[in-house]
Amino acid sequence: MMKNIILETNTLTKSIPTSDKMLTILTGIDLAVHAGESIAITGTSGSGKSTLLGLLAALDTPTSGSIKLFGTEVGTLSEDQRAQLRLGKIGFVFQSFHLLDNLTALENVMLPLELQSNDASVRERATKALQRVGLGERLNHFPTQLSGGEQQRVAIARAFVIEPQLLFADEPTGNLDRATGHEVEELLFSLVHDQGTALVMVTHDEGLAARCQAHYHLDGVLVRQGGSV
Amino acid sequence: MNLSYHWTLWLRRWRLSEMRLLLIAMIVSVAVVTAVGFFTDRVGEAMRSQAVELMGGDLVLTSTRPLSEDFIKQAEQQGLSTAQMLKFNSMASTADAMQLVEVKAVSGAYPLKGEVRLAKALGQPYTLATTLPKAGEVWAEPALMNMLQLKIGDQIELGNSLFTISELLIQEPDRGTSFLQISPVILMNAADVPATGLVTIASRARYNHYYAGNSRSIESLQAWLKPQLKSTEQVRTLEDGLPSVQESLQRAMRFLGLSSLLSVVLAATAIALTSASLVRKETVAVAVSKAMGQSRRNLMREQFISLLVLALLAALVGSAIGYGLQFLLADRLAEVIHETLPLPSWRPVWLGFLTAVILLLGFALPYIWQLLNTEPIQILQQRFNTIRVPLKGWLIALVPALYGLFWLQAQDPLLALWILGGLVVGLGVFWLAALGLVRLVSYLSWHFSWRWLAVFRGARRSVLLLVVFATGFFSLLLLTTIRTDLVNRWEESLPANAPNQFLINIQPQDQPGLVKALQERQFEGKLYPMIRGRLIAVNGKEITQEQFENPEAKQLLNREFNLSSFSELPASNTVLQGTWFSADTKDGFSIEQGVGKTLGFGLGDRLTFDIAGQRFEQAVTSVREVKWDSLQPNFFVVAAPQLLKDLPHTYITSIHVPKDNQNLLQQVIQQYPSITAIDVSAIMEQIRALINRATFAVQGIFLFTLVAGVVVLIAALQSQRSERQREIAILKSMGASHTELKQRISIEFMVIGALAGLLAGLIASVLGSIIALQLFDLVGAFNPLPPLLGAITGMVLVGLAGFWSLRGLLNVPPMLLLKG
Repeated sequence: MMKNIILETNTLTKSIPTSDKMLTILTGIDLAVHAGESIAITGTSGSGKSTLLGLLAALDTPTSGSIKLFGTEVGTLSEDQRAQLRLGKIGFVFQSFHLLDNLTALENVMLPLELQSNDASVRERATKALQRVGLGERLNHFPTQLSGGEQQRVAIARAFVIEPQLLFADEPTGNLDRATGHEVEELLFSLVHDQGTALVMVTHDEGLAARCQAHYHLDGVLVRQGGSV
Repeated sequence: MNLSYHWTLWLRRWRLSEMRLLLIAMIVSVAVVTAVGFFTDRVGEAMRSQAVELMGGDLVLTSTRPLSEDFIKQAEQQGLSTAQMLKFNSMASTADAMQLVEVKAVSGAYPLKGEVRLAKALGQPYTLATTLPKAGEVWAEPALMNMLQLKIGDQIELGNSLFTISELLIQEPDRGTSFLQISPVILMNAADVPATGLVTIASRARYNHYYAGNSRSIESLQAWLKPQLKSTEQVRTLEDGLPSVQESLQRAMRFLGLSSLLSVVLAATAIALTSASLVRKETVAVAVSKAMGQSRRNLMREQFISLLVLALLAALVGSAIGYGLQFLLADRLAEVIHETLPLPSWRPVWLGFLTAVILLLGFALPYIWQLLNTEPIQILQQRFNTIRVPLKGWLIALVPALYGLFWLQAQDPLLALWILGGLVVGLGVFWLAALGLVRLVSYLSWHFSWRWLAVFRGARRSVLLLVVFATGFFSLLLLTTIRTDLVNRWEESLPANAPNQFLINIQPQDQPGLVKALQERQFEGKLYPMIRGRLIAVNGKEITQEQFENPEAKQLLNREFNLSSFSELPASNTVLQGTWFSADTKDGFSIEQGVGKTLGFGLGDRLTFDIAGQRFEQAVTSVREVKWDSLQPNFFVVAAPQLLKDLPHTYITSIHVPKDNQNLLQQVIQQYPSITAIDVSAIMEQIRALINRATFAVQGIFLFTLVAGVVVLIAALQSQRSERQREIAILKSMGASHTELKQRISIEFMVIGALAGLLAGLIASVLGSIIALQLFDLVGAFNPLPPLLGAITGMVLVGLAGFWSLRGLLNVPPMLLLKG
């Protein structure tokens, strides 16, 4: 039996204004993500992958249609209310890592915990998270002192430290060489598996997509590989 | 969220170099504002204290009729100390000679303020009087001793009484403000006056009450006195005791305050530039935090606390630096006023903190506000919008902030508005000129295919750098000019050999001999004839003191004028209206502008003077401006050279006597005993010391402006660092060599520096010519030196700074640059 649905969209549309008309990027997107489920979204450049990811993560609001995140309708919420919805429940892994250069690896990982509380356990939990991704010796290094692979591990530790229910990954290996990319991929999936986190991943990499339980292709509309959703 | 958490956040943000630059810029502003604040506070206090000394009390009541004893009782009830003085003129005589003296008969706690200096012989160190003269004794001024050939212990007669001279009176309060009017002074105990029989109800005498104590009691006494004063009774306030030189020092202090604004404005520019690059770095942090669920409100609180901590830190450190600098001056300032300085007030610290807060609100907040609007979706789009503050945002924040800063410093809303207007127009001019120059350079590079100038093609950033650097250079250039001008003018007004002795009562028969005696001792001083006359009519109508409300006018008419007559216009005089006399002019008076204003006459009016019983009616043929602080003999009214030449007169001159050559002057006085020498060197020393402090302060401001300029330079370069980093990486990836990049950077900054220096020098020169034309009617030849020097200095300075700031990027492999 399938677990609860934690993310659900219904005939989702996103248009953006250009100089003379509205440009429709996404139409009629229907998608449901169950707790602990992993899905991959692939598509060519400009197909609207990042726009969809932004909508699903409640970073943006749709032009029409509905998104329910953890059972709450997102479209009518203010920016702060949407932030509150994400707090402590959603993790992100980005293609460009987006670590803060003026913070050490440890401080970068402490950041999402500190947004929720600031008890003594924060440092300890962040340290454990970094040890888990194999960077126990690199706690006090700044991002600029780390390699690309190491930076992405810090980003993964930052995403998983809050034990999120849902993780969004945007081309997580896109900036890494093949070998490092593979290591990061293994790490990501093992954490997803261990923590029972649902994963929504945008990628170019068909191999990576194949490791997810469901695989969708996006080109303005969303098509499940092996059949329409 | 607790304080320690915010402190942790602040410390993490502190790792950004922009935060440190922001702090430095603010510290510079706060330090300059507080240093000037402390300094003017203390100089103001020094001036007040000097003025009080010159008056002899915090409050002085004066009358030509006896003053009620009730006043004294009331003052003593309020806890004030009091003293009284009866001042009158009388003849002092010995067996052989007589001399008109000014008798000051004192009682109570005289002197309340200032000091009475006594000596046993001239040239010996003085002691301070601690009591009043004993009954039967007087203290006499050295000039009187000379005139009457007296020595300590000799006796003189005043009215019916005989007194022993027990001390030489070197100095007492309320001397020196009108030193040309006084006869030698004798100080005696008021209890001895009745026995002399010199003062009756009908006598011409002046009765003074002196009061001293805390300012609240003084104010309440003044309020109590006001309704019951008779028309003959006047309260003298602090302003009356303030000599003219101190007024010019006060103006100088105000100038200091305003010129410190230059550093503040430069620092503000640095703050705006740094904020821009700070928020660029913070955009990712804000987007990531928002994606993780951080609310806008929390972010705003974080940023606000961060800025507040920065402002507090800047206020603290800046004030400490300002206070420390003040201490450097305080010791020597204390020497000048012979008093321990009161602790400076807290006002400057408050001013410094306000300055820091306003700077942040006006120059950093617009950026922070935009930063908070960063959309988290940008993090997925791999492209962060450049944070631009709309013009409206700037207008709302910047204009009130600048106005606030100017108002704080100028203490005058209208003046602040003028400065703001000047700044806006100035920046506009610089912006347009910079835009024009950059377009010209880029056109040249296209037209002549000058590859080495290609970096300017369509580069907006060059315009920004050009405006920032040119404004900085211009500020420095302007301040250098003003500083040099100011210091020179002060030094001119009081050169090392400025006269320090006035010789009066020089008899005509002594004149040739005295001139020779002075020349032999290498004393330089021009002798001016002095004729006493009373102004009795203007345009044929009688003029009396009753016609005037103004006490100054009453005083002028109450006494005789010292007129003179000469044809060579002294350097300390400038003719404002009419024509000055030639050697053979027989008719006309020349007046000083102030006396004309006070008594209501001017060019063309006919003045009638009673001189030795004769009436002289002449038209005013010129109006002069007189520098009273020149320490040269100066006159309210000068008659045509040929007009008064046969009338009884004496001569006056002022000479410089070196400190260690006082005996030379003694020889001259002994040779011509009728001459009275008035020593003004003590007053001059005080003035000179104050001027030195002021000069020092002006130099200090210059230094601050220089530091602020350097901070702006760094901020401007820092603000474009990431953009240039990308550019260098791209050029490197295309195959640009190390040398080529080095050349490119050097040329760009050298050209920008040269253009900025040229522009600043050009505008300064044009402005200088306009001012010369407007103020002095001088058609100043255009001075090509400032633009030329500016261009060379700018080229070297900016070239070096730019290269130094970017050299680190040259050695980094291009791949790393792209990743960074």
